[in-house]
Amino acid sequence: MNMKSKVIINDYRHIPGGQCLSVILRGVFEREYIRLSNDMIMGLSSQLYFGYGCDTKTKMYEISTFSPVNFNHLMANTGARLKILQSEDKKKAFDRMISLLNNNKPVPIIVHPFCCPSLRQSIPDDFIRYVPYHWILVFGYDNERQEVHYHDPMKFKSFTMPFNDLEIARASKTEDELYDPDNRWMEYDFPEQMIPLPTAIQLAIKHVAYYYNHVHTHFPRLYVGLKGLSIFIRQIKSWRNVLNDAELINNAIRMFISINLANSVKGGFRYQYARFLEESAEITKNDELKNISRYFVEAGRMWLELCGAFQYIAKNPHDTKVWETNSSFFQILDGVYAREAAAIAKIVALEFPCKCYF
Amino acid sequence: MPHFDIHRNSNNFSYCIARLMEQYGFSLSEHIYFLFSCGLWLNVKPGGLAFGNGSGGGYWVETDNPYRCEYLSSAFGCPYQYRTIDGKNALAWVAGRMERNDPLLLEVPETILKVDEQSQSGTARTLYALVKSMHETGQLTDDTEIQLHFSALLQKTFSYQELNKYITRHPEVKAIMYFAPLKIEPDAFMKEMIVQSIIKQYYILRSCFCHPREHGFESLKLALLEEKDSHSALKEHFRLLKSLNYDVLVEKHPSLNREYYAHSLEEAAHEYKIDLSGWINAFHHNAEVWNHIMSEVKMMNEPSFKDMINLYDTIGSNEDRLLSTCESMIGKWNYS
Repeated sequence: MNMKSKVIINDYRHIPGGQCLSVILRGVFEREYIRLSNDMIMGLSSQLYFGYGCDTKTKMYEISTFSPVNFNHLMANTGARLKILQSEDKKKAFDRMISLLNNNKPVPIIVHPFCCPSLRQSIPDDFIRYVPYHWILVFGYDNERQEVHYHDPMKFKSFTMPFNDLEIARASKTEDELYDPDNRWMEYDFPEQMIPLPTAIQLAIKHVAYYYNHVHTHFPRLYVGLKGLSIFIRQIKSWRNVLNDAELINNAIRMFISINLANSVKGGFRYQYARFLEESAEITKNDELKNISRYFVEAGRMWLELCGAFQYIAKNPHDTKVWETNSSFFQILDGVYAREAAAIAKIVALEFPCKCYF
Repeated sequence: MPHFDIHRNSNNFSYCIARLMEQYGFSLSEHIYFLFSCGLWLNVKPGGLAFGNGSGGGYWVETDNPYRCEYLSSAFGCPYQYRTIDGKNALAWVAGRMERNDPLLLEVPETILKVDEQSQSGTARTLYALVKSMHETGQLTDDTEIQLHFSALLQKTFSYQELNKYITRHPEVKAIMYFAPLKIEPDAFMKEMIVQSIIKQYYILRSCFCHPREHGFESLKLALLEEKDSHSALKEHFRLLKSLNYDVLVEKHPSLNREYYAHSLEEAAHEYKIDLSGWINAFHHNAEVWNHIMSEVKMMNEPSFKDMINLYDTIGSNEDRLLSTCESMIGKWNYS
């Protein structure tokens, strides 16, 4: 591999905040003269999502409030060409990263959360184990010091990581094989002609709404959208009956982390989605999107309350009042569903008329 | 070489995806998956594979969307998992999946079929194969038979050891799993996703046509004009066009899948009651012209410089017409 003594790509502008891959891709798009906000990237990634998985044997429950295929949606909705690549061979993965950097291309890579020093500055170690994986953006290397330079989506300043530590961070195993870093990285290309932004916005918004409303389950047992949310709420209400104290605390923390994951400001990304809709209203000249954005602000508020409720449960597992039928916790759960359902119904009813049906 | 009946109305990727999803309990026709994966693509790339010898110069044609896995994942929102299987025990991960009866695809170079020289030249197709092992339960052994299904008419059987050896020599091989959607309230979602996929497919074709770095056919024509006195250049350009006319053992490749796409649109229109008549006509017409071009190329022995320029002009205007027609139809859909 042709290692130079030092390579630093200076023209990548890093703006932290939001979901890690979206933050990185915002910067990547901007380098290609496509200037979009973090919220717009998030919206174009059809990232608004709810997914719920439960393993009744291990008593482990997990939720996700952002789509696991957000970069695929971003590609499909914008026409950018994005591919996640992987190699079992650590040297190949490293050499490819160096080659891209030598060709002036910053490289998004996945690392194990525990092996990422910058992430550990943001999240206490007790909570890191609930973070499935983390993307960072490598923008340079120093061969004499044997380290890479990278941006962490959660931090303003840049960081360095020794080559050996990076190799470990890229190859370490997590608790779930699906989230193993596995030496994955992303490559990207931007064709001359991409999908015009107003069209991309319409595609992204309608995709979210139709998916949320009509897709219920994925193999093997992942419940998604509004249906998934209703199953989640129904099952949570019986947690105190089916979980012991340790399991209850573990799952409550897991829920808290999931809702607040990737700096979603405890709102499960609903606040960001509201901002995306406000921006989109200007671009598409559709004021109805501004009205709909208020529903997502409301939904974000409900998720924020839910976040607080899970924090309380984790600290007070013996408080039986929480599990009474008319408890504020149950009301918050029902409130989350009501807000989400109302917001999605508004989008579905949105006038982006399509004249192609019989 | 044994003769296989070439499956004319099938697409390798779509066939494999359809069989894979069926194993999860999710059934659609392969044509619908082709729509969702936005399979149409046309990029001419510089360098690499002149007659498969890897020598410099020349061009090769990419006719299948290299991002089709990602587009399919986006259409249904299905997460998918894949691994390259280079490394010491190349098939270990695959073996683990097979032992648990998890459905699995392999993404392999077409050389796995040992296709003949003609169909190899100028293309570097990636093929997909559904993996089926021929053992009852328990661990795989070196002798366990592994069947790779490429189409309804073509399967190839390896022993575990043979396949391991092949993959070790071909680190580009990937194993792929999708987490299929299992329950969808069909019509409303499917209609919208079909319309979206058609729009996305249009923009893909447009981006291919206008991609300056990857040499659309207009750039090829310009390159030929610059080398008009060069016999070897003329020969290379002719080889390139001939390579589009290949018959692989997996499927015939008429009209660069435009005919197959038109059939896919017909099926979607009928199944989900969508008016796609304009799109269907546009792609049928485009396919007819490609078929005509390919027939002419097949009959040529030593085309002149003028013959080649005329062919490039015909290709260019055919694609341009398709894109203009599609653009006007998108306008009527109010996705603008």
